[in-house]
Amino acid sequence: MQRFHVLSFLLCALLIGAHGGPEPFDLREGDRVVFLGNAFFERALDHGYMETALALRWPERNVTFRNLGWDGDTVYGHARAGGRRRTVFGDPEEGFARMMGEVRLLEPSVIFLAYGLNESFDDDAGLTPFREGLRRLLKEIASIRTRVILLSPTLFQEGFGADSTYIAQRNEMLTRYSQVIAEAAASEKQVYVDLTTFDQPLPSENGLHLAGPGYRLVAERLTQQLKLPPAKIDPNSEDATAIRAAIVRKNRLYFHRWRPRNDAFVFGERKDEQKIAQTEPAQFEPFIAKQEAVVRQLLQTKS
Amino acid sequence: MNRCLLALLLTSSVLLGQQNLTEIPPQDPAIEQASFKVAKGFEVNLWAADPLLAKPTQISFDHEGRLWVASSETYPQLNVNQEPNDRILILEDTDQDGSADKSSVFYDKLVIPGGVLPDGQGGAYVAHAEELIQLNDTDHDGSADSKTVLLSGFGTEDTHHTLHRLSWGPGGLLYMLQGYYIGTHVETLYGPRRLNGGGLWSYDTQTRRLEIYSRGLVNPWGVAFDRWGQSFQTDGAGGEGINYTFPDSVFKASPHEHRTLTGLNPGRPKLCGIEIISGDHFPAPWHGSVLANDFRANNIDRYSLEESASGFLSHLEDDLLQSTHVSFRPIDITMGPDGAVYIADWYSPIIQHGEVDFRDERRDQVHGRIWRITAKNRPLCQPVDYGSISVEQLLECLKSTADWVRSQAKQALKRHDQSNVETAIRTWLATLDPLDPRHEHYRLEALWSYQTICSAEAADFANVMRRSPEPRARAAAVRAFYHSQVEAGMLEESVNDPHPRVRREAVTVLGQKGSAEAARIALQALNHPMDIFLDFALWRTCRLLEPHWLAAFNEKGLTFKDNVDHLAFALKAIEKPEALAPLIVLVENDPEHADPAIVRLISKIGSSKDLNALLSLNTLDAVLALVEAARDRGVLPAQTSRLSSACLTLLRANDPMIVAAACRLAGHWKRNDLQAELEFRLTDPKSPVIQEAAAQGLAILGLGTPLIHLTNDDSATLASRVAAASALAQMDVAASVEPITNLLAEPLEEDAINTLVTSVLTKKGGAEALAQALTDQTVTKKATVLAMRLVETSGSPHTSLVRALTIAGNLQSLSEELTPRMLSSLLGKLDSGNASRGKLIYHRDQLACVTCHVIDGEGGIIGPDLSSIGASAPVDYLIESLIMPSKKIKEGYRMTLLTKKNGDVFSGAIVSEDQNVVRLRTITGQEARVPKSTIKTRHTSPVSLMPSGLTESLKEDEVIDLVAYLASLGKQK
Repeated sequence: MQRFHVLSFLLCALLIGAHGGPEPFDLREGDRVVFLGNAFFERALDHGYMETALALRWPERNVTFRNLGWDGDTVYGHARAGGRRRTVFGDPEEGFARMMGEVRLLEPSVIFLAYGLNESFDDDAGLTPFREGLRRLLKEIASIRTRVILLSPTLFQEGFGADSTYIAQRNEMLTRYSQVIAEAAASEKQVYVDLTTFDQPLPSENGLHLAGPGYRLVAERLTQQLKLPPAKIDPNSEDATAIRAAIVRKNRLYFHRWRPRNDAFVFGERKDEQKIAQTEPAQFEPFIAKQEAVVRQLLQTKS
Repeated sequence: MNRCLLALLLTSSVLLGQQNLTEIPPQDPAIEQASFKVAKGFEVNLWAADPLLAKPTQISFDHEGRLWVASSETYPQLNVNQEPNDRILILEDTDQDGSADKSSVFYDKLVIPGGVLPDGQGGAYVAHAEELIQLNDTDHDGSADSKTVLLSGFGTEDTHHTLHRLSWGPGGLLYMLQGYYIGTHVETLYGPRRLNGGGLWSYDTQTRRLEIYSRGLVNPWGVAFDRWGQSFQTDGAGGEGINYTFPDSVFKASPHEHRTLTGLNPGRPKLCGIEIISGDHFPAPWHGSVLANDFRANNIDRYSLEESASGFLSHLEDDLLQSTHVSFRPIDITMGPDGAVYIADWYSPIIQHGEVDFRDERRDQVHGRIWRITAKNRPLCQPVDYGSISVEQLLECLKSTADWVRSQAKQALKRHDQSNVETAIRTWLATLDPLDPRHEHYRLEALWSYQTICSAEAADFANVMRRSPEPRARAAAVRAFYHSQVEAGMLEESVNDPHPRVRREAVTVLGQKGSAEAARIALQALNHPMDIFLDFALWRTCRLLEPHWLAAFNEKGLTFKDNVDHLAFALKAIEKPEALAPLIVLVENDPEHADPAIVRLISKIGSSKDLNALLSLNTLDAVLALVEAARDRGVLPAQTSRLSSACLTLLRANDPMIVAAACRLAGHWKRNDLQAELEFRLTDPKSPVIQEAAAQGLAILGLGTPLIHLTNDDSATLASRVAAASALAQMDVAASVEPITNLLAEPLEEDAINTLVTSVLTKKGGAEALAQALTDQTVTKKATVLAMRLVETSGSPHTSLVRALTIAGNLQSLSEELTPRMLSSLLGKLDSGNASRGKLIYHRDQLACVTCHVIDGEGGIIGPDLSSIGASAPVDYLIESLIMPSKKIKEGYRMTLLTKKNGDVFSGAIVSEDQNVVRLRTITGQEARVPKSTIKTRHTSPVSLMPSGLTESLKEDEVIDLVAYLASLGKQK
């Protein structure tokens, strides 16, 4: 099985090399998909469009999804440094180790990666460090042999308080950072999905993060660029809406398992003040499993 | 035995909870109200109570006079698989009878919202755990139908520290707070904003710019602006009363900040919520007073503020309200549109979720009250209909003495056409009477109005107002340039303003201007009188601007000409190696410049060559600095040929402190040629300080013979023998245990016993050696008790030593007076406890409570301050902490064990650490400095610093009295 994966991975890489374009993407029986990135993924928790779009393609296959998005994160994992090692706030560099630890724990076979937005505020001077940081991240990920899909950031929108000249400057920078991501994808023989060019502005919640309909458009873009087969359940159907709601609920449960509130008492500096708190996150497991089964059943009965 | 006791305790703790439930005070609001003692001339009425609301976290009036309530029945933690159902409520007094009669649910899908602020358009901003959201009521049916996540990424590591308390500032920015355990990473259009630890955020709802206003405080839980725009914060987990804050100010507990400002009332209890009295309903003497809730003692404090230099003084006045009802928990306080004071009452016998279990059944999850305090026989303020009056009338509202009227009026301006408002403001300004004593305040409100509506005129008008005849207006106007792109030179006039507050604002603003020129100008503040706030602001600005001015200075683009003081201030501020060379030039040219800060800096980061500059200073600061550099970093002055003669000069100084430091220096510098000098000082009984230092100097040099000789010299003083023995232990613990055993049989002071035992325990193999030496010896009972305490908290069981001590000190085997049976009966007998007798027990030497705990400013600082423990902790928690101190350890009091590469072990609570040294507070209250380079492992012990078994010598009635005393603390009854 493992060997088959490696072979098909190599074959895939060769094909990309030969034809210069990605092969159609598919999710296979037993795949574990991890969404790793900044608020682009964390905020997607509330909407579930991307995961739903993928799930609707292969409803018969047992594929699980985990969202490890974290607001404000970078390829260095800086937002994840919070203190679980008996220090209240870890060194920023601890974030990367924690990020990779959590990724490994999930044993992913596919990783969607969304970074670059926060890094882009380091402007031109930050391009080289970003390139290196991304390379380090991809290298670490390569050691666990997963397929990687790299997403560009989405652009900022006007009409949310900042003036248009400023927005244009930031978007120019986001485009440059996206270019770095595209180059990294090419050199690592991985798939790149561009989200910087849309005919109309993506519906936004605050000028930089997408509203639900924005995620829906992004999900459509994913299906196009990854050349996904047609959905077996109509994405605009009530069934699809019910599946998406079940997915959102499953992801919320997993969020509380993974990043419980009161982390300081559960894992961190204030651990010695509470006992019950530490046992509760694990109690989410059966509920997650149950909800995962609900999603599975919906997918299978509606397709 | 221990395991057995633990098992019994666990079973009995279930009993404890149930037994105590019967002691939960009656929940009838009338009974709670009867407990209120309100200041003369005022009365309290119940404005709203459960079931109209439950568990309020913040209350906030809207422009229609309705009270919005953020509430959480979920706190402190969402149940597993529970759907979020916390609510935003709207309370109304529709019949205007002085109490609410209508409650509606605006939204009910939240998890522990920490704050609510109506947005003036039928919706509200809500601090919702990791998010700042806006709830909208687009169909105007009175409940929210859409939710927008404006900002996300606020940390949720501790649910009473997460984002909370939303309020409008004078210039229309939205302010919000977070506490210490929170790590925030928010993505904004202007870049990611990251804040670890507590702090005050400002958010511009129009440009969507999020910024950090001030940092620190343990859990800031209230901010109020005075009428001139100065801000004050209270701290729900800190003890410094009212904190005067300003942009870029930094307070206690801000991580990685080693310089912080302190609050204005050190030693005050934790405070929650803050409001400044204004308007005409409260009598004039109350105007400007600050109200804050002492939620643990069930009181509402009053403070008066006094301007002082560039900051303020705060004076504690008589309380506005006192209560004896333990469930009265004033969590928020605000003035209402009628000029009365409204208090949100969280209502619970348990106040937070540290220490007491999340799921403790005594947590109240259904009640909540709003109390209203009015002045007797004084008319209420008339409500204003902000929604229907004209822009001109709104501007007239800016003349109101009531802060909330001016704030609502400015918010209402946002709902009008911007250019109409701009025109109206210009017209209104022209109508103002320059002779009106409040003329400048009106103009300042005009500036804030421009800012609130995001007008481009704000910058121009700030430029006018920075030259106002009124210094408080000038200061506020200068702050308007904080975010704007202005040349640093524009602020030169303000840096040199006659009023210190204006100078401080200008210095702070310059910190944002990113140029060497900004630093040069800011440093001109040094040409005028300085104060702590100004000094802090300038220090901070120098650090913020360091990349700019240091580069310019090194490239000679920036010279400080005759302003050597300016240069010295800036270099000291940045504490970087690059800053040392120019500082050393300053010191070498004129030793007058060698102030303690520079000397300390050289000691902390200077190279061998840099240390040469300290060699000829011959001051105590300089010697201590040389000792520190050698001891902590192993760095000696480069001029090795001068070391002996320099040390000798110091050994012959007149100041005994210098001589003592020089004795240690001789050791750290390996001056074996000075042995005779040290031996001479060792045996000179005239100065115990020098004797002790000489002993240590010799020990560092490895010269044990004179030390052994002295320890055995019966004719020498006990103090000198103790000093010699303890120094010997550091050098050769095996050789020291015999003389130490002999000394422990002598009538020693507590300090001496602690010193001797600690010096053995920290050494590898020390405990075993001492145990052996104690065989067939006798030591005093006092020494045994104290030594047992030290062993208990050393992090290792040291069983052989415990056995040896028990025999040598003729101790009874551990008493069995404190059994689980007694424990289960304790709660039932608490009523018979006598707090006065308990106080005497508390002060018994043998219990040593005072050694570690402070009550009302008296006592040691090793353990938590107990001044108001009774108000904050349930009784079973007190008992449990007395008997099993390690079961729940208060944050910050956990014991850390540092094992050095040579095997020595240090235990204590970490006080601080920098790049060189970890400082531990040990059980004896002393500070141990452990150089980081010598540390092999660092281990956090699950054992409390508080020894268990302290209460084992007590009889049951004595334990009850002690608990009664502790339970009475902080209740002020």
